[in-house]
Amino acid sequence: MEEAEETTQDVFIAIFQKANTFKGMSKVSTWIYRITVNKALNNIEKRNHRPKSATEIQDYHTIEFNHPGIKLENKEKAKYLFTTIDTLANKQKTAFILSYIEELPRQEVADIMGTSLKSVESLLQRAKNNLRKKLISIYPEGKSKT
Amino acid sequence: MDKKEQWAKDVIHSVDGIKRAEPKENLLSDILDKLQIETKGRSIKIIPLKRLSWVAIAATLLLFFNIYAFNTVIKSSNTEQNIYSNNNIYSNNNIELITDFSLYIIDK
Repeated sequence: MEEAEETTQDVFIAIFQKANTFKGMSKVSTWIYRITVNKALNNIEKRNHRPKSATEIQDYHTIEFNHPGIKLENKEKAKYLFTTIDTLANKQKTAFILSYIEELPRQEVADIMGTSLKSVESLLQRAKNNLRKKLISIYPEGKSKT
Repeated sequence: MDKKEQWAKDVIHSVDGIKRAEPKENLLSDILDKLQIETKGRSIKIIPLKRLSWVAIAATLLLFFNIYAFNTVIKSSNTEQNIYSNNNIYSNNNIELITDFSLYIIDK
């Protein structure tokens, strides 16, 4: 939560400082999303604590996860999902979050990422395949599967 | 479908219908505080839109009055020129009491 708040502050400061560079070539929201994605990725890099192996994902999963927008019955599964999303390559992670969490249209995702629609679709396909494989590898045998 | 695959699928769909997280109440003041630090103590003045509208109205009125005043001056100066340049009435009589007409213009 703290990290999200810090990133939000960084984003607003960047908007304030770079407002004069906005040329109106895209929607304001697209421009703000682009700044947000860059800031978030930078902060993740700074944190430099990304789980890679299946064991690391399971260890990392024990860290308290609290997203206020997720239904109570889905919290445990969402915790696994977000931990696994964190292991994806930056581009796949960005495409997946913007498309499936933020629920943005594919074209807007492409605009934010500065890439083509086709490329976004390919990134999403790879992201979903990788997530599925990683999730299967961390399937909590014997534990609660709720 | 394998139970592991089903579980993975359920996990991926666990964020369906996710709601946006709301920012905490004092986030704006935190951002303003941070902005002041970032801009090295320079005070940041955010001009409200209402005040900006008044400034725009005042500027428009000022411009309008200036244009109006400018047009009036041009018109009156043209009228004066017509009066002073119409010196035929004096020259027709062949008696010119005052020959230097520019005196009138300068006095005026």
